[in-house]
Amino acid sequence: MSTQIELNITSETLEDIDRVWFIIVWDDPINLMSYVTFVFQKLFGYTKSHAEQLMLQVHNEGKSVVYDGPYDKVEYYVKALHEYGLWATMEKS
Amino acid sequence: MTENQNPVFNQDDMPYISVLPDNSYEIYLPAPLKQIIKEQIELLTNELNTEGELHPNLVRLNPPASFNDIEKAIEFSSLYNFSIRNSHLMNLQSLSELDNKAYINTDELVSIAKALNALRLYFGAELGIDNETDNNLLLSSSGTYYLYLLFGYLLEEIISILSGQY
Repeated sequence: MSTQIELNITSETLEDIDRVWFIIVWDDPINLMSYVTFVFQKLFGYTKSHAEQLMLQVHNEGKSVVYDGPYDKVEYYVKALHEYGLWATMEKS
Repeated sequence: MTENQNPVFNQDDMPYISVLPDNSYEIYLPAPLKQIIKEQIELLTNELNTEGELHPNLVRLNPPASFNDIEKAIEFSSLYNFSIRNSHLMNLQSLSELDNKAYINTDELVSIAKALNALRLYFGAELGIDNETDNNLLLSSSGTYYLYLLFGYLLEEIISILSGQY
């Protein structure tokens, strides 16, 4: 016996799946440099030197792309970054 | 981002955090300091629980999730704002409920770090800190600035301990 399943996938949905999303963390003069480094290590599992490099880029250039990946992961991490009090946004590639 | 200036404590009754042999933590907050923290948490908790338009000092605790995709920003906001706010409230509650001397695990210490950062974001907004140099200009001003430094000092202590784990 076979069952037909109707999938409601629009071209926009497929486009979203295909695209890579980025997380950008923005500089905020209130957040401590050590705290931001710690959050990058804890949340993304980055080494201390990589986390510091990203933190310094945020500090010196005003922002840094700290992660890229599929939308569901990016959404999860942005939520987590907001819970840490970091100013993070997501952007499509 | 910034580096914190340390407040002055009574040398005989300093707050401290130490790692225990089982990798849990001992945290000590002198009673007057604990009382100050509790009062400020109550203030922030009340603001977070106030319905209606977001208080301007809370914007950093609830930033937009996207600048160039308004639809996604709205979707994110409707899905997660409530849970992000609850996360802030739970972290603040963890800090508020600490005994003067407490024994806690890593997750609890991270939660306390988040609460201290939330307090800094709130008081930093109240002080109008929006660029790096403001930190130095405000050095000798209000009690609010003292609180801002105090929370920064405690947060810095916690992060230096937690960073040893990574």
